[in-house]
Amino acid sequence: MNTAPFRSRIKLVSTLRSGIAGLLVGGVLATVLAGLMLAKLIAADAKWLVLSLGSGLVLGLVRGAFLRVGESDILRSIDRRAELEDRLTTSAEVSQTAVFAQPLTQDAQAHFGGLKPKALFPWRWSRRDLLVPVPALLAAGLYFFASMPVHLTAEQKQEQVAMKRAAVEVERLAKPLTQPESGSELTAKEQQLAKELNKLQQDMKTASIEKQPALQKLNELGRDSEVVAQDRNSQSLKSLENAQAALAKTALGELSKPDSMMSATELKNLHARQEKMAAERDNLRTEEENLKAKLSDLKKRLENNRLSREEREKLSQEAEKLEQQLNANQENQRQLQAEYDAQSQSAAEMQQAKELLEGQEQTLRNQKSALQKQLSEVEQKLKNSNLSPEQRKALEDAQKKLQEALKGLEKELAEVQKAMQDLMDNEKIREMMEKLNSHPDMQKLREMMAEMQQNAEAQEAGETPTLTKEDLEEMKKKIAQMKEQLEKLAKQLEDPKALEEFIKALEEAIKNQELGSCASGLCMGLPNLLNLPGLAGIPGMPSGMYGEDKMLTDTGTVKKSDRNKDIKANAATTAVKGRRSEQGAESYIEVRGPTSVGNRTSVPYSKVLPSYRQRAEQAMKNQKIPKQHEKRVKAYFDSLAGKK
Amino acid sequence: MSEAQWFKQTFDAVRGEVRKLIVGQDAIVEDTLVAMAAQGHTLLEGMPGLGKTLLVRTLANALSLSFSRIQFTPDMMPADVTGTNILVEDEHGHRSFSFKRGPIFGHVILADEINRATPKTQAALLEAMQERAVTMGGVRHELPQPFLVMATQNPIEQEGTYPLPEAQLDRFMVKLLVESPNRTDLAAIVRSTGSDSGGTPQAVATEADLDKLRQIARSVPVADNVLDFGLSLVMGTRPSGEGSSAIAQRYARYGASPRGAQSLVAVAQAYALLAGRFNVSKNDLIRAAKPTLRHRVGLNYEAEADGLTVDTLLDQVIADVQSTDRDPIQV
Repeated sequence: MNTAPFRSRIKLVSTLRSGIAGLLVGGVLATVLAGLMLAKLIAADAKWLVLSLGSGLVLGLVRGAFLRVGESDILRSIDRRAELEDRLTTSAEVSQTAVFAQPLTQDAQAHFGGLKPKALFPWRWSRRDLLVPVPALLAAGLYFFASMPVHLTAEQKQEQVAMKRAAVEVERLAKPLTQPESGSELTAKEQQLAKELNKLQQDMKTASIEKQPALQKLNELGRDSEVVAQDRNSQSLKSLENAQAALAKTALGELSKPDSMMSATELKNLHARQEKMAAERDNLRTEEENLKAKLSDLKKRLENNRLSREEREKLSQEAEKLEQQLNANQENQRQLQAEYDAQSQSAAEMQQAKELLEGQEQTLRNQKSALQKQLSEVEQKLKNSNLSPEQRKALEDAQKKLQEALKGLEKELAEVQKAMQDLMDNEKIREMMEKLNSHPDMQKLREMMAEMQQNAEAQEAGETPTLTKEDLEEMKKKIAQMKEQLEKLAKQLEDPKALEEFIKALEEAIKNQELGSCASGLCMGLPNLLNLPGLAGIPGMPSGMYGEDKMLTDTGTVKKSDRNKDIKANAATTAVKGRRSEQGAESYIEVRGPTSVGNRTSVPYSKVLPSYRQRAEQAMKNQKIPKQHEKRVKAYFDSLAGKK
Repeated sequence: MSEAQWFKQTFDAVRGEVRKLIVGQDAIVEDTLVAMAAQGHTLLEGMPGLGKTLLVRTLANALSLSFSRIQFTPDMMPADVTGTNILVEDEHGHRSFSFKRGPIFGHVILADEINRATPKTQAALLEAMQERAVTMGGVRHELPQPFLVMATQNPIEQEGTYPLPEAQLDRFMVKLLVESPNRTDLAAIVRSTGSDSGGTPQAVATEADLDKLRQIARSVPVADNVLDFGLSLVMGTRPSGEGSSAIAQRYARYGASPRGAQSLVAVAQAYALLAGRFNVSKNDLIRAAKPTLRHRVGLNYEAEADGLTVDTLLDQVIADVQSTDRDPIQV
């Protein structure tokens, strides 16, 4: 009896059946996962639910496919299903020497012949099969419910939105750290940092982490990333120094070659040489005409039949000689023309490169001018006698920093000018600069830089904010980066592909307003944005989402004249008030401080919190806090107490 | 003609002869014939007047077997069944003991109302049933072959009866419950009374045929899983031990013996041949379960108090065993 078709059918049905059972198990698992997500016990996304279902299905299918089915089991099953009264089973077991062996075998085969595998082992939907979608739908429902803000309070919703926004920012900032610099691999420390940043980003995106732990973690990671960035920078600096040394060596080599050297004096003499060459060319042409005339005369004389044989041979030799001279003359003319053309082209290119570098020098001069302007404003403010000692000290510090920055900028300008001179003296670099300037992406870059400059000017025209120490440091860093980039440019521009990539990266960096972030290998974005809230002070830079321990919660504008009316406090003035106009409006940025401020003191904030809270409540009760700010005060103390 | 065909033909022929005189009771006729074919003793339980004696006599006639009837009474002695040694004086005046055979010396013995005899007399009969021989005065007297006892007992009259002990009941291969005839059969019985319409049963088989029937029936193969099913049925009747069913644990005092398992399979083999098959099926075993096991299961007081019969218990045991006998391929 051939049971192979029945075996195949059983395998097929059992595989499907097991697959459905696996799907059911996977669905239950997904439901559990979704429930845990809803309870915020774990942080997972939809792919884990899909993975649970998929793995359940696959495991079920595999189990069904590899299920072993015995021959006797098949026969017994057929006996039962076809109601064959155990004929097949007995027939398979009976000894061939038994009395009824033959008739029993014939009888069994007769009954077995007409059986159809599909009819005996049909696919039927059981109740269990129909239950399969239930856990899957339940899991999906729980997941979406967990993702929906309907079960959250208004504050929690706001917090969740802020966390999601922050997660996007963290993702953007974490990206440079998760990607190794070209030609190197991530260190163990970088890998760990990248992993933790990714996890934090995921947790924040799914809002499965509270705000305070998130901020604390973010601060920790910010410090770590700063260390990593410093390591990278020092590494990059070292590489840059090496590259610069190599470039200097190469440039020196190039300059020592007479062919490639093109000094500014030579450039001035270029036109004179060209004129001389033109005169030489004209002489050659005249000489050619003379030679042609002589040759024609000789040919005519040779046609005269009266000439003796000796005379004829002599004239022939003369004609041959003239022809050779003519050819040499024409060759000289061609060489001269080629040389003339080449020199003309070089002169034009040199002129263009010079113009380009002059433009770049002008940009640096503008930056210097802006710095000088800011410095003079600070000096002006210092003359104000109403300043408190703290304000004065801050302004003096700012003045000092600005002066340092100015000095640094002047130094940079001098270096750039020197670089320009080197560029003028080096034909190879000149060619590269020309390529760069003619590149269409560079045009875009210029436009962006111009826009940044306009922003700076616009800011200067309005209410100029006081520059903080961090702002100055940041500006200094930016200038240093620009210098580094210019220095690196020479090396990178040799390769047209690298040139294109560099320009694109630069463009992208400017777009993101974090110059020197990644493509050039200087991953500064994360530490900058994490630790330098004063980036807003940099022309074209927006307010940072995060400071070291601050979170941007609100921005807006208020009318100046409205502010004092709400204040009913009788507290003694402890600081000298500055004079300001009561007209117009002023912008404000509200930041909210997390509980991590407590790490600056040895006394835990929880010990002092009740008394401060009581004082704040008392102040609110006595209407010392403006009405519209009472909610913020309450939220602040709630957050300190660990409430959401 | 194959052996299976011969079996069926012979069986049908004997059954046909019996039906000439016995109206209805087809199941009893068939089960009795099956027990005879398996050469087992039969215990018939039923009301008086249901044709038990006629059935047995007719069977004996159809098979060309000698027939004896013993009407058991309380005052009957063992010697009245087995025979006795009597003092005989020959023509020379010498006296000696001579064995006078009792009614047990026959092929088919009808032990009517066996539960009326004293245990001593019952024991004499049952010893002969087991040994197929009688020992008297130290001399063993073989009983003729085939030797088949068909005992009857009245279930109603309890007074003055001596229920058969368990060990003796076990010697009967089957216990058949003779039911009262239905209206149609009763009408036919009444109409045929006093007339000769049925005719006289003819001998359609011989002693040798009966032996051959037994041999053929014993040759029917039983698959392992089918045998396992049968053993589960037997073990399910036991109040304790491996395989005992829940209902037996509660209501059974004792369960079926190994002889019960032998009887179960032997009867199922004959059923298979009668059904035209060459193998024993689980359904054959289920069908054979009640006739072969009902007198081998003793109920306890709780069962009697709950009004539970042995057949009810067996039904539940069969259902339990069937529920555990699942399709090996669950797809």
